[in-house]
Amino acid sequence: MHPEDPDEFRTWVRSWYAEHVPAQLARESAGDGDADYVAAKTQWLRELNTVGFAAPHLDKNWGGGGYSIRQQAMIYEEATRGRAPDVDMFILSVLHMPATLLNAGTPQQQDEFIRAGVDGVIWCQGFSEPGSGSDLASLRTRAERSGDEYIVNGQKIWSSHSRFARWCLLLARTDPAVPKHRGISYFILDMQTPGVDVRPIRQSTGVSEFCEIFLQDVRIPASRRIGQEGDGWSIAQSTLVAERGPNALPAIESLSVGLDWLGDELDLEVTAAGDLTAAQATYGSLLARSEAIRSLVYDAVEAIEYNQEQVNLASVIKVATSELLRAVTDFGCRSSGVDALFAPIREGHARPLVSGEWFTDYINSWGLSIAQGTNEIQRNIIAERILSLPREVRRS
Amino acid sequence: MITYAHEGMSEESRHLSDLAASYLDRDSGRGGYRAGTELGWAGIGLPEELGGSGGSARELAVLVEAIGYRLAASSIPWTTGVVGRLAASGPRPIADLVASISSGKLTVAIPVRPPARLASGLADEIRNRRVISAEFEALGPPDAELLAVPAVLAETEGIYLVAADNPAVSLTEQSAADFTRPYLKATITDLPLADAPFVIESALLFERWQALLAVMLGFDAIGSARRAFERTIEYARIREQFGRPIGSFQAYKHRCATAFIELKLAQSHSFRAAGADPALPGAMFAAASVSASSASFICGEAVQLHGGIGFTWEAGLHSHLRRARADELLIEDACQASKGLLLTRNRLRAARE
Repeated sequence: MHPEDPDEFRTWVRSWYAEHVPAQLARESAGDGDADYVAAKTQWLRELNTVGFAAPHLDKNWGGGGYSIRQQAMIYEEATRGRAPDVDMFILSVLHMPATLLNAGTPQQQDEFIRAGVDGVIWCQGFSEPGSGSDLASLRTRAERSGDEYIVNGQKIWSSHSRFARWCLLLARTDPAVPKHRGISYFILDMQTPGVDVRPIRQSTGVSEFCEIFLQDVRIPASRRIGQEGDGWSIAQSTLVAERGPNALPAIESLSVGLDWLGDELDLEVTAAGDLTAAQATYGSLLARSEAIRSLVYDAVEAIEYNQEQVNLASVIKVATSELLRAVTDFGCRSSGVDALFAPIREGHARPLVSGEWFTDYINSWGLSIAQGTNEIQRNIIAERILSLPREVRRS
Repeated sequence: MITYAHEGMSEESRHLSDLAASYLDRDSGRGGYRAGTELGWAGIGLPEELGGSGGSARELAVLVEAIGYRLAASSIPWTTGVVGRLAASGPRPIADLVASISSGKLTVAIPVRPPARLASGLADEIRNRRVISAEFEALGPPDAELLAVPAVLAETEGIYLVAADNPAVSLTEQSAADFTRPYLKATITDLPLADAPFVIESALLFERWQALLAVMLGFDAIGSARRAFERTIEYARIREQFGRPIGSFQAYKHRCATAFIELKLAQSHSFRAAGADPALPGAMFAAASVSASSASFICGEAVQLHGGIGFTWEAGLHSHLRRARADELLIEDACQASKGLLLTRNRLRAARE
């Protein structure tokens, strides 16, 4: 049982993390063997599940925590502040897959997959393709109906954690004759099906989190299609919407933690009469900006809490957060000077946004400004969907 | 008309914002020094038991944002938002001052230099002769009834509100690059301290003064920027080049999107800080600092995105830029927002250890 009072709730969450964050499972989890890494992360996921912190937003009957939106926000903040390992390769299992199936899946699909996913069955996402990045709807992976099955051929890319994944949320084209957004269908792909080949891609930081997926004559039963044929694009929006709201808080809290570290390293002593140094002025503006972004996320949380209609500012938050991450890690490099240079090139699976190895954090910061729709695409979305500016070219 | 008010505003706040903005419309001729006092705005955010009109600091913020939106010359931001609120708080609130400000009878001119710096310049003279002689620039109309003078007496920070019609006081108009609002040169010659009809005294008074003024000016800047941004989006849709609206070009769109991001950050942060406890000014300084730099940026983009028209006097986009830039200079220099933010951070950090 958890306390209802917000302050007591936060204290309870904080002390839970303080007691349970495993010392041996550093967030950096570098070059361990794959099996050990997955086992350790699975154990951590199940530990989180005892209090519903892995999927705080999901109902208890799906294995989640059933927490209010405000409580979810506190859980995300305290997890990051307490340096808890994140859910890592289970992110799709707790967030995107349940959101998609609860929106468009059949009751059978929901029963078969949601609880198991939250309990540690790993999912990945097969959306982007080598020829379809920002223009996702142009994807060419083909799914052709053959009796009770679809036969799938194509290639997916930027798919995080897929070498560990048992299942994949897959978009494929079922009808090439209709306009591109209408010919796409959504599938649940069993990654153990013959014809599925996964190859990790090494990222600029040195770690290998995401992969390519090659699909050759892969058979998917028609019962594993989500929604109707041709509805894939609109259902995919529900997958992406899962990243809204309080899910932005871990990144912002990481920035706050990083700024705390930087603050401890810098001389921030100020007197009422003296002027700020250049470093102090930069630090102050980064600090203020991190709080401004947090405020915007709280607005979204409060809008959900009080059931208010509000323009979706997820794109605004995404761009602002990723650009601040760039600025903070850049500042981290500069204030560490040459010391920042002598850091190892990491290998392994994933790394946190802010580790204090500022040079690597800086290189890693491009991940956030490119992933989940590049900041350029986000600006298009802001300009066209929110500001209603006319489209540049007529799209087919 | 399209508007881009703060998303998190309540229905009532949004209504108040629209109402205030249309009331202050330039063409109405209602944007002058006393704008809003006839509607009781000068008492918003001040407690009713002291003669104020009640309402929250957030409502006052909405009004001040509308004042900036219309580039109105109203003195409410500092008269009510700084002097009124300081007079209403603390162990000994000054009810008659609060009541007179609320009714619109008293308008205050406030220095645009850091109060501690002004006060230290006055220290010796005050100690020795109990008189004030000073010269400084102030924000306020030439017909202001009161002039705020910061002074430290017996190690207590105080604001001496002296009568503008005292023969020892002279207020003359001071021309400024921001012409949208009145600035003054205040000259005080051998004014006996005892002549000040009102004195506000408390510990850390100057910091609270600076935090409150910073927040008010931050809203003013956001208002100015919001209008400049709305004009830009309207223009992007109607102005055509190469046979299509300029707003359809990605290079143009992205600049609009970036300006929108700045606007949303500034609005959200400021409205959250507006309700903050002035005794914990960190959030207020932080929000004002973000608002000021974002607002200047947005107004600069508005000038650029209007092309040649943006550079004309007539189009008035420069007025929004001047106003926002002035707010930024006041927030960072007169209010020392960035420094206040770090001082607060260090205090909180020390308290935790």
